[in-house]
Amino acid sequence: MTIHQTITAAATPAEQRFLDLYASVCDRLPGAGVPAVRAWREEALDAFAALGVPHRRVEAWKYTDLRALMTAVHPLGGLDAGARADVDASIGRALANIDSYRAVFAGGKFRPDLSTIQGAPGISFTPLCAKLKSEADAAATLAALSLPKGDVVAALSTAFATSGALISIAPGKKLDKPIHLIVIASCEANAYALRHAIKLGDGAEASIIETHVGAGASQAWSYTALDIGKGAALKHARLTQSAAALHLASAKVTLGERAVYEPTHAAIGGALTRSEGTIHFTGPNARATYNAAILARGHSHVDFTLVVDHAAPHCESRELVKAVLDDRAKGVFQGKVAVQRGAQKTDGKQMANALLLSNDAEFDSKPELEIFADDVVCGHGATAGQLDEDLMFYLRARGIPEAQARALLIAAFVGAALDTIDNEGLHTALDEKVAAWLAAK
Amino acid sequence: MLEIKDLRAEVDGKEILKGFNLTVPKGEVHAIMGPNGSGKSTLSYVLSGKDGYEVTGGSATWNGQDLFAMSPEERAQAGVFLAFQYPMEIPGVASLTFLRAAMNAHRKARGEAEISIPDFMRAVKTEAEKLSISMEMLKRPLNVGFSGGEKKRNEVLQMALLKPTLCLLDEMDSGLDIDAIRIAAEGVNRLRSPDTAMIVITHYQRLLNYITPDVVHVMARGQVLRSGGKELAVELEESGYASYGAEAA
Ligand SMILES: Nc1ncnc2c1ncn2[C@@H]1O[C@H](COP(=O)(O)OP(=O)(O)OP(=O)(O)O)[C@@H](O)[C@H]1O
Ligand SMILES: [Mg+2]
Repeated sequence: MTIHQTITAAATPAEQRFLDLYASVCDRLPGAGVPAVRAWREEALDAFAALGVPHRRVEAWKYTDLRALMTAVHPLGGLDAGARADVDASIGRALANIDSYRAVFAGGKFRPDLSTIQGAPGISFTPLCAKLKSEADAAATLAALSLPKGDVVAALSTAFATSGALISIAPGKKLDKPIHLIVIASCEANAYALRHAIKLGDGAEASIIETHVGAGASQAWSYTALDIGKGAALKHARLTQSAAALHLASAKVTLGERAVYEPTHAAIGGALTRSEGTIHFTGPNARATYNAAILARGHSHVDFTLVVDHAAPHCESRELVKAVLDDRAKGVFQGKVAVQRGAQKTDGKQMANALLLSNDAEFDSKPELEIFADDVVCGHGATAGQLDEDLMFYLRARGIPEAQARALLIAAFVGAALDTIDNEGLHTALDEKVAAWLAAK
Repeated sequence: MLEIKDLRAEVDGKEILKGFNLTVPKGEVHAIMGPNGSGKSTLSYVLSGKDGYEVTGGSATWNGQDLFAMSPEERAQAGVFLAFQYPMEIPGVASLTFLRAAMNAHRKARGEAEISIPDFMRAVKTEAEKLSISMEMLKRPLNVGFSGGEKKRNEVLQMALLKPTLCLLDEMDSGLDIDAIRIAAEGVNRLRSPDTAMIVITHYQRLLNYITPDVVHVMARGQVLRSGGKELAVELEESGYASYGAEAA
């Protein structure tokens, strides 16, 4: 006789909080009555339970000890009727002025009344929750929404998803204006979970702006799967802004051959912002240019973690991170470039620069190269330093007051990460956000 | 009038200016010549207020105002302009952005409204043309990738737009080709007026053919050792600084 012994690590209070939350909402989540949906969620919950809440001994979370930093989990929002939302006030006039197809998620719910993306030419848009109502719909939809391995944030976003944007852009379609995905965590006492999937057909061209705003100490976790077809091109700007909120995001991007992906991430403030991603090259001659800007002060903690997976030859990746850190803020950039066997002629470079405005600010940069091909060009660099006093003097010697001179130099420093944005309205909006952040001190 | 009396200043604990005296009345141009390391650039930094240059004695006043009681920007707003020996490159800040910020800072200090964009562009165009600086170049980040000569001309452009009354020109001729020296010197000459005082630091008498000085001073080891008319520059060109006890740098 054999004794089957299942060894299950007992959940620590950190995991238990999430498991309890699930138990309390599982019957009210969208699709609660649809077995396929429940199975999909619970598979994710199991994956989460197996992974646990990451802590500093988990390599990918070395500088962001989530177990220590996230001591409470708020009740899940997005289960009741939609809350009031003033989009323009939340995201600011300049961003609101950008002519776009809007998809607004406020308080964990899709808000058709505030959105304009429905019926846009060449764009198929559905909120995730609409697909969770019947077994047939769910089965078809969820088959395409698989769970990436080892991704805690994706697991949580899936288990608790109240909605999300399912966007598909027709092959060859060149969008005439950007899609603006606006996500507002409207209640500071709540947590929100969304799961998005975006697909660009072969040869399509699009620009997506994501704006995430968190009220007070709200919590948000989200997972985005992005599939960029052959020869397709996507510009992807992503702004997270909030003073006290917690924001966990994960994105998995897949590029077909000759695809071009140009993400620009900016995080302004936030108690804890962790934005991790994987860029996966599946065909040759594709290119990804990743730019990231961090502006943090007070006790903010911003972590950008990126894995670029060169699984195909002749692809190019560029990463540029600019972090401005003041007070006791902490910035993290973990950039891993993996070059698979056979991915010859890979060209991968990354650079991280931090500007430390206080002695207590901290920047942790962990570049990592994992190369299994011999004919490649890969490189990385990192710097951390203070404002250049000689430049300060030059500006002041021309009559520019000290505070303004500092602001000019800091804006120029982060500006290097925003330069690739060619939508003028967006560029202006981000410049204004930077200026406002600088002026707020 | 600029009045510098018994000025002593040190850098990193090392005394560089050792009892420096100089008076430049309004309307005059004074040249300072002197061997490498004699303290000429140090003097210009001390007068314009750079950090790390500690004044340990003496005074400097401009039209009766104590320069050392003012921040660098206040000095600039009071009319002081240092044309740098080595102008800085400022990545990410377009020359035009920088020029407008500087002009508006001066206007604000005078209690005037900001300059309108058309007025600003017109002013820049006019002056840039005179200095053979293209507007295209001014859209680029300040001095980044500019040649040595272009950087120097850019300094003169800033001066032309800010219209300072106390100009400190630190080797504005170094790195300039012959035509560029003439163009830059003409720019400086346009700023000469009964209200403007200038200190022209140079190693070569050639610049002084274009900008005629009222007085030439020889500076060595942190002091003015001799002053004279413009013929002194010609004499120095021939005899060097040996008689001033300077070792070759
Ligand atoms: N940061 C510093 N630390 C130490 N010594 C310095 C520093 N800056 C300048 N010095 C010294 O001060 C002295 C004067 O330098 P300064 O640049 O004023 O000379 P200068 O007359 O302008 O020379 P040049 O003709 O070569 O431009 C030199 O001996 C120089 O080495
Ligand atoms: Mg010098």
